[in-house]
Amino acid sequence: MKPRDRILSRLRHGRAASPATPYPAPETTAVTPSAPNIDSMVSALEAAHAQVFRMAEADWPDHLASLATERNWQQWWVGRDEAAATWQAHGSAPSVTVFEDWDGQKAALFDSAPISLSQAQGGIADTGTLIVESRPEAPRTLSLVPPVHVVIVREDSLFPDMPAAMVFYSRHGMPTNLIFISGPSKTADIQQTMAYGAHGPRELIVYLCR
Amino acid sequence: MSGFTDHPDQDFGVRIHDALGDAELRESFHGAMTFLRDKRRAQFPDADALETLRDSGAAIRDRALAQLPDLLEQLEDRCRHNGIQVHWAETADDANRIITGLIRAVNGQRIVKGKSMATEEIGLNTALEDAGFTCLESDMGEYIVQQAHETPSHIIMPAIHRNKASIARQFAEQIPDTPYTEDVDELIGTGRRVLRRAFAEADVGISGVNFAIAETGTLCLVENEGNGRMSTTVPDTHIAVMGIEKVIEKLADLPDLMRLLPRSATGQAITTYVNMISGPRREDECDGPRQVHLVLIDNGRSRIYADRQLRATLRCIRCGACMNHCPVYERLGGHAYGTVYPGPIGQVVMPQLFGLDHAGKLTQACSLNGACGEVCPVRIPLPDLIRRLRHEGVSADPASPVRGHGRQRRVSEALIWRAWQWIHTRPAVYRLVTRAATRARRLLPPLPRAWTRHRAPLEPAERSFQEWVRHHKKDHRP
Repeated sequence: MKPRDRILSRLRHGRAASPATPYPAPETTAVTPSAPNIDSMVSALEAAHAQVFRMAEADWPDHLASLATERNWQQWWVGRDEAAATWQAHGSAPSVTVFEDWDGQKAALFDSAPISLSQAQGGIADTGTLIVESRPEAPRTLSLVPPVHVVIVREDSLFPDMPAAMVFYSRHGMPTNLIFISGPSKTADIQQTMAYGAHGPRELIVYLCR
Repeated sequence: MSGFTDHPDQDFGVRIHDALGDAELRESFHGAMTFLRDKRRAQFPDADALETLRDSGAAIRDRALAQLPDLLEQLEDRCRHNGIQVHWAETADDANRIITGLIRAVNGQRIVKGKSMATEEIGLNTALEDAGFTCLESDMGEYIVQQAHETPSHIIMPAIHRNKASIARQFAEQIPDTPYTEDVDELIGTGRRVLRRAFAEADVGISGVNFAIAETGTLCLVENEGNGRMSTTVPDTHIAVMGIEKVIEKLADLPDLMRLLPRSATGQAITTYVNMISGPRREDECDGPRQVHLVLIDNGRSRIYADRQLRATLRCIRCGACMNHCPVYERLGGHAYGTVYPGPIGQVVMPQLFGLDHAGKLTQACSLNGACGEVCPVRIPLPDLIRRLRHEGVSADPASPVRGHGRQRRVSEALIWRAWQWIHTRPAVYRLVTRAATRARRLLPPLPRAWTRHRAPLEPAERSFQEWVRHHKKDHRP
C-alpha cells in the first residue's frame, strides 16, 4: 500500500472504531448587512495604518498627481489593468514601467521600484480589506514588492463582510492567487513594538471611488 | 542555547529551575503575555458573541474532522485539478525525504521559508542541512532565532524571549555593515534589507498552511509581514507543508475561523494578508510559482484521531491563546518545555506524538486552573485532555491508545491513592482517621522534603472540618 492509502485507511479505521458525536453547530442568526458600511471600511483601513482618500472616480488621477509631486514619487510600476491605463493616460508621472516580464524585470522590481499602482477587484467593508486577484493584467508581486502601494477600489465593488465575499468566490471560482490586504506590511516580532514595512509595502494608499 | 528534543521529560525539572531563575526571561514573558491577553480581550467585547463564535469554530473543525479522510481525498483531487502536486508523508522522516527530493528535482540552491510550525515539527531545517542545503527563515522572529541558533519559544511570536537590546547586539555582530541600534524600525529595516535579497534570489520557497479548503483546492496562509507571500510567490517552486488535520470543508467555513484566529492569537481583527493559493502561475500570468507542491503529514495524527476524546486535539488552529493565558507558560517561557509546541496545547500534543514515556512529565506542569480551556477558540477541552493523559500515564490498562502509557506509574504512589480511596469511601473510617490525625497532630511525622523545600509545612487543624461544623451548628441553633 502507498503511504496515502495507509494514512486514509488508518483514519477510516479510527473513525469506524470510535464514531464522532459532532459538536452541535450554533443556531446562527448571522445577519449579513444588506449594504457595505463604507465608514467602517475607511476607519478599519486607517486603524491599520493605511491612508484612505474618498472621491469620485474621475478625480483620483489629479489628486494622485498632486500627491506624487508633494512626495516626489517619480518611478511608477504598474500592470496592465484599468488603473494603470488611466494613470498612463493622465500623463503626469515622469516614468511609468509596465511590469509584464518576470524574468527580465524581476531584479529591477526588487531593486528600483519605489512605488506601484494597481486596481483592487473588491473589498470587505467590515474589516477594511482590499481584495486583489492574480490576473494576467495584474501581477501579484506589484502589491507586495515596492515599498509604497497605491490601490484604486470602487465603493460599489465592496462586500459587506467576509461571508459575503466567500459566497461570491464559492460561486464564481477562485483565481490562482486571491489576496486579502488589510493595511501595510507590519511586524511586532521585536519586543511587541509595531514596525511597518516588514517585507511588503511600508505605505498603503487607498483611493475609494464612487 | 536551547533546542527541541524528542525526549522532553529528560531534564525537564532542570529546565524549569533555570527558567524560573532567569529574571530577564520572566520579565520578557510577563510583558508579552500581558500585552497579548489585553489585546485579545479588547477584540471580544461581547462575551455572548464570543461564546457563539467559539461554538461555531468548534463545530466547523469538528465537522471537518468527522469527514477527515473524505475531505483529504477531495482536497487532493481539487488540488491536482488546479495543478498543485500532492504528496503524502506518514512520518517526519518521510516528509523530509519528500521535500529534499523535490528540491533536488528542481536543482534548488537558495531556499527561503515562511513561518511554519509543521516544518518545525518535522525538523525540516536540520534535515535540509544534513542534505547540504541551507534554508533561510524569513519571518522576522524566526530569522532572529535561526541566526542565534535558537528555537522559537512561542508558536506565534518566535522571538518573544528576546528583548530588543539583545537583538540589536546580535544584528550588529552578525550582519555586516550594521551599527548597533535599539530602534525597532531600524532593526526591522535591517532584516528587510537582508531578506529581500534572499527572496529575490530564492528558487524554492517553503511555507506552512493555516487552512486547506477541500471545496476549491485552496491553501490559505495568514500573516502580517509579507514573508509568507514572498516565499509562496517569488521562487519558481513553492512547497507547502501541512498536517492532515488542517483541512476544512468549504470556503464558507473560513470567515468564522478567520474571526477567531487573529483575534485569539494577536488581538487583531484581521491579519494584514490572507493569502489564498489555488494553483501555480497560469500561462497567461506574469508572476507566481511555476510549481506548487503540497506535502500532507500524518506524523502520529491518525493515531490521535482514533480516540474519540483525544481527537479534539486535532481541532487546534495554532493560535497560541492557550499559552498566552497559561500561568505556568507565562512563568517558564516556551524553551523550558523543550518541545516545538509548548504550553497547554504542547502538553497535549507532544505526549501523544512522542509517547508518555518520553513526554508524559509535561502534563504535570499544569495547575488545572482551566484558563486554556476557557479561551480556546475551538473549545478544545485542554484541561480534560491533560487530565486524561495524566491518567494514561499511570494507567495499567494494556488497551490504552496512547504510546508509553503506564510509564509514569509508581507503585508507592498507586498504593497511597488506593489507601486514600479506601478511607474516603468509608464514612466511619474517615471520621476515625481524621479524629486521630487532628488529636495526634503534634506527633505526626514531618512531610517529605520534596514538599517542604518550597512550601510551608502543613499541620492538621485542632478539629476536623466535620467536627467544626457540628459544633458550629450547636452554637447557632435558634
